[in-house]
Amino acid sequence: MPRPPSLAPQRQRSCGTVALQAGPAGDGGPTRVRDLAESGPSRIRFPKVGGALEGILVNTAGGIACGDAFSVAARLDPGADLVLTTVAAEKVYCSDGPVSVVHNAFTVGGGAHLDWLPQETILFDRSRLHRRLEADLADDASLLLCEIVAFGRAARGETLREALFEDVWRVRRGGRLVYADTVRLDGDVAALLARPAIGGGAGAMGTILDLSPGAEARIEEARALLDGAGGVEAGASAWNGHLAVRLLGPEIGALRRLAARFLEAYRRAPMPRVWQT
Amino acid sequence: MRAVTATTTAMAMIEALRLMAWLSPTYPVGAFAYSHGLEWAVEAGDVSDEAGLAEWLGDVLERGAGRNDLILAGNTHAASGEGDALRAVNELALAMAPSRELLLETSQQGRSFLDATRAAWPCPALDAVGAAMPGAVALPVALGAAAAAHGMARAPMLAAYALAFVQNLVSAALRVAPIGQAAGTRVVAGLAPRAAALAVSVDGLGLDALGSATLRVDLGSFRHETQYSRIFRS
Repeated sequence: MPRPPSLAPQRQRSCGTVALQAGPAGDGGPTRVRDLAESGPSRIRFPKVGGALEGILVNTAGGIACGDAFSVAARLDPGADLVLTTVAAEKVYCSDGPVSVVHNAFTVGGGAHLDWLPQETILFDRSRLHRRLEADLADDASLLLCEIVAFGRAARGETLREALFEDVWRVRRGGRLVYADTVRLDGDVAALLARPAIGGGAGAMGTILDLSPGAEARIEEARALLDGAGGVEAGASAWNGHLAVRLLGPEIGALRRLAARFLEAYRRAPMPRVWQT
Repeated sequence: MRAVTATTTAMAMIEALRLMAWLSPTYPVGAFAYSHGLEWAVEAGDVSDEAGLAEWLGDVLERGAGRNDLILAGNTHAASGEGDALRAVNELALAMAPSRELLLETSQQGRSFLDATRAAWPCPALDAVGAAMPGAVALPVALGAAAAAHGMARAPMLAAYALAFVQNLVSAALRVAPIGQAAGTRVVAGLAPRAAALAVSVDGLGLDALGSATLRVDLGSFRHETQYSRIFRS
């Protein structure tokens, strides 16, 4: 006897993309958006803020559910200057199985400068996320990356008893791979993070990577800016021409504040306004 | 028939002994100078006794650089004879070094390993490896390439590398932590079967399987750069 069709609602998977190209107007003029495509629940807004062009990504779906796919592709022409951020923290909801995929790809031309400063990603218990960040830089391009992750909703005291978080970073300069990192936390993430070699009880992590020419020489400045990190474990290292800062902390609040404080001083510019609420 | 068997046994023993020599603490790669961030973990109080060492080292082995190194060595071995593939694995291995000191750890030992092995066990295939990688070489890439160049089997090479990784860090622990010789040896004995199991489980995995969970080892390696009193280069 044929089975009746399932009455369970089939949720529509979200597939959101933003693809943009930015370049300087005229020769060395202010950066303008040259090409833009948005699809699904993904949008980008460009409020007038003066200074560098700032794009604010908006996920109108309100978060990432199981099996969703989101991507951002930004191409900066030579000489362009762009800051990208997100309107709010990105929530990754619990999944009944499928892995959600986030793919961010940046191409930064000669002399161009991209700051990727999204607000934090909040992983819910039973979330499953595979995230990939790829950047292709011209020899003298600048790229500053900051990613902050909260392992569970702090206000609820939530911990990740069963989750998947895979975070792949690959950066090429002049076609050569210069930075590669893959974090994989799978299973009882809270138990993993309790272990001294893994998280030492961390509930949040942050990674800041500066791939600008001259970044390596700023190591002492970066270390000084991390002094007085409070309850957040912080460190900086510089090698192969880039500079990295890593943060681990028991909860997202203090870690996010430290990251913002560091970035304001390091970039000599205020954080995007959406960060300041 | 008996002569053939004897020859086969002798060949297998030569291969096993060569592997032991390459991964011995006396092999001139300077392994004694590196602690993979363990010196900081001791300073931070994460590793202060036998149980703490076993936990920390077990994680680095199975969820950190140990597992990644085995995957890199295995993929290098599989790329034997293909210069472009070899260079691609090496580029990835070097780019994956998570800090200034951990890049030094793998690249200085890798270069030394390749040079020492070419000098003492020369063969045309190993010369080709040297020609393909004239600059920085990651340690697991150097070992995987050398083993393949000499026609050595992959699985024992991976297991031996995993155990050498454990032994080197236990040896480092004995110098900086209040952990005695007998306790250190027990840690090696406890992790040896896990090293073997790891080698079996990662054999054949592609580069997409790379990935680590040891966030605090990476951060600790950053902190080690400014550690006031230190005897290790990582």
